Amino acid sequence: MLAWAQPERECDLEQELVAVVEALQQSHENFTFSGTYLKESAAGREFISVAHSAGGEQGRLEYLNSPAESAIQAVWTPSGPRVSACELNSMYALYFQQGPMVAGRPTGLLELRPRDGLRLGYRLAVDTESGLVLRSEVISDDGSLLERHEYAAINVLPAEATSAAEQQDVTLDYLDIVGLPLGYRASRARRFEERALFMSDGIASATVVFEPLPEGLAPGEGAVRQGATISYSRGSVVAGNQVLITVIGEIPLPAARLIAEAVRVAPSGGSQ
Amino acid sequence: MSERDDVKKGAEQSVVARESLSALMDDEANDLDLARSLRGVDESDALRRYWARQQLYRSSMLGTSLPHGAIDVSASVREAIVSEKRAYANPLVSMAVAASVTVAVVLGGQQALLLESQPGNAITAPGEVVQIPGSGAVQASFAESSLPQARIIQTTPVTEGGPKDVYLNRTAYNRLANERFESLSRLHNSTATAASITPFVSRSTDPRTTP
Repeated sequence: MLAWAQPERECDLEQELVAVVEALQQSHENFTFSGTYLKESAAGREFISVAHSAGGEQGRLEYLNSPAESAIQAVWTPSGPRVSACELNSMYALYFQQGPMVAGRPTGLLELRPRDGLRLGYRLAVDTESGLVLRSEVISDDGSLLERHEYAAINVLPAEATSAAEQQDVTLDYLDIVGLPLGYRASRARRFEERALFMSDGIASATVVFEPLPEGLAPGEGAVRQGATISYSRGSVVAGNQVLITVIGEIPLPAARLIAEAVRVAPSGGSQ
Repeated sequence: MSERDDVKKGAEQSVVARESLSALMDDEANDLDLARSLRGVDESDALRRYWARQQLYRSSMLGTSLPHGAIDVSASVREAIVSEKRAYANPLVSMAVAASVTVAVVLGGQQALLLESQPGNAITAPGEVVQIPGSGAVQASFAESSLPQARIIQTTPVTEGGPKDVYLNRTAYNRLANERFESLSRLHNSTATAASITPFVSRSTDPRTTP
């Protein structure tokens, strides 16, 4: 059924599962694609045109129905260190089966069901040939759909053989922060090292930003969710200073709370 | 006024109080309902029993029956409201207060369940509030159908330092969280590329939220 290469097995997961997780992560490096997808979230419905060259750091994206200047955006493609299916399996129950046709292409359906309340669930229709995600659904802990993307049309071309050979392994320097939710690791946010931290379990991710607490505001907390993304702001006293910590990302509220609590203690720095 | 008139007036007040209480449990209460319910519960054992019965009835309809008579949450609800009289002037804040009443009720239910040594399953209670194991009470934010709506998430107040106006504080923090959502979305979408698997088709920032 699948065109993906079969990697070595690392654990007791089915080989197809291991292969699809690998293929998904390599897809932006190995394939050039362009197409139009529909994004549905709390913000409404948007038709978005996207173009990406294999191995490119950035792709181009255009909100077709928006008159705003920012309707055309350069978007970063996934570029973090690889995570294996076995690593994911400790945080999510993984399921794989034959998927639906999406944009005229056959897919495999990869489901990631969180094993705890500290991450969201995902249902991904993955292109059988390229490993690109052609449809994604983000699901809350109670099974409700938070956000959905689905290609209406897409052209996919394999990259030149040399592109893949030039790939380099990516590493992150993880920070030693005690009290993070299980499976989450912290690093300094690339391109925003001085301002922000980045937290991820390999699939769920959040950015943490620090700033002085607005004058006159007592410690407290507030949160708003739009689609799959939560913004959680918390005023805290850290080392005698009043600080506003904002956690923004595709994570549940309990995880945002735990992250905000954990980062109140200054990270010791260094890699693990 | 005759004794008969007094009885009639008392009965009418009781009916009104029950209606207000129903509105409160349906999360449709206004300021007047709220005040009327709390005064009624304070003054009337019958109304308090009525509230408890309604809670049990609604809980059983939702499949999460509470132990009968295990807990009376009206005192904690009154405390939550009385300490926030100043907030009534602001309709948005009073909505938050009404929501907090529901949260207080749910927390009461949780205590009851703990007393009964029930397993830590998700608890649903009137007001569509769910308890995620290991977390505080959270507004059931995600019960949307196909197209979810943006919403402020009910959080329990953080208590650091001295006493403070928690509901006004929460409103301010919800507003801050919303502002940060708009100003930090692009930064997050950029930094999140460090996640090796990005389940989204592409990370983009809605033009309407771009600062």
